[in-house]
Amino acid sequence: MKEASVPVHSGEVMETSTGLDHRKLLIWMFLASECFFFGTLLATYLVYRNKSLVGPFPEEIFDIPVTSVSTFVLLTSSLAMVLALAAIRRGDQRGAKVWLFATAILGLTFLGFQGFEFYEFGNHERVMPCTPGLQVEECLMGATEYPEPYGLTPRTNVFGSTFFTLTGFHGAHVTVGVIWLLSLWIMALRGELPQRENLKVELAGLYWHFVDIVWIVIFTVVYLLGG
Amino acid sequence: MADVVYFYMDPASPQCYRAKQYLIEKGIPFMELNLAEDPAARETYKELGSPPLPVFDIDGKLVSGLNYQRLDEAWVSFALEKGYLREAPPLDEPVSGGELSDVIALAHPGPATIEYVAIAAVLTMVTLLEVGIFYLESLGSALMPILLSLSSLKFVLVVSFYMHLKYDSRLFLSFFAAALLIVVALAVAGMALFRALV
Repeated sequence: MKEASVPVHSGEVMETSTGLDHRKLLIWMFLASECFFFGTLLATYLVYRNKSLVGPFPEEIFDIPVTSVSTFVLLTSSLAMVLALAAIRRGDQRGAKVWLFATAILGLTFLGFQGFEFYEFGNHERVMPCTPGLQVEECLMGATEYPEPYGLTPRTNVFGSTFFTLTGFHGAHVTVGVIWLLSLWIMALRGELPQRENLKVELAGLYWHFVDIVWIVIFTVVYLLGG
Repeated sequence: MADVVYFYMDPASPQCYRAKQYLIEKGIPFMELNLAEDPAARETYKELGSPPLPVFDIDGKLVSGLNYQRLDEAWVSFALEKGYLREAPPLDEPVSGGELSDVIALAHPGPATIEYVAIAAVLTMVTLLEVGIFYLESLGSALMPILLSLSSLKFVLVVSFYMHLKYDSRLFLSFFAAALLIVVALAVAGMALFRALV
């Protein structure tokens, strides 16, 4: 294979057999492995789709408008990420700081939405009619309907298990991404992220965009095609 | 010869220092030939006719002097020929030289800022379209292929432009595409096995 020199830092030159930076090659290999990770979790969800014996079922619990907003937030964060990379590449330190922080904040907002959604799913209720003899407080007080706990947790049914495993791991990946981005932001604030280190931002960006495309697939396959 | 820029330089020259920084910023692989310390490099430089420094030798083609645009063009055409790049990148107005902080990140293959924003707008519109289509009950069984096509479009846009795969080495695409193909095949096989394919 051809030998080539890849500049690492000023004055250092690293030999690689591909002419490509080790770190960039490795991040793509990592993302390939992440395809397997999320692909198998999604496959498991799809195998168990419509096979739950008890509810809640997807169509009873999903709030598509709210999830659409969180999807939009994550897509916007990808834009902020590319703008951060463009800024660091042209030596715009201020722009890099602003957009790195914006990406992290948008990621945190997405996590907020996910937390809210998980909480709502867990505490979901359904309205049930009062039948004669039913020992429920509202019915005994004379009401015709009562709210029955009908929450979704990983233990409720197969849908709950596969859904929370898939989206939970995605949320964990977003969390790691936010920590990564905030670390880069702090480095930038301390003047430790010069233009020549733009690869560090590029690598974080590749991870972040991957997390975004996983959500693109989850949103369509799980939420929109879920019922 | 390796697939790099052979960079003839004099360490005392500010122009050569700027040239080296530029190569590093651009991520252009280079072999530094220090004429002050390397007698063999001096011999080769003399054979080339001792052109004005810095000198960039890209596969036999010489760029003499610090001209960022000519260097970019020479590197890009070489990289395209060798397959390190798959697309000719859009080139903006040339850099005039000067201090490193004035260097504009042109000729780094990829979309311009306004194009990133345009892609984001497309991603938003497609998402709105998907959600709108979701509420159309009349579509019936056509819903799945339509939604899968739209999300595939978003997937390809993010991977090609935001993740830069359209402009980068084919090796990255190979890893990613191979992994995707294998896992999709696995998913379909699993679903068929458990009678989950509709």
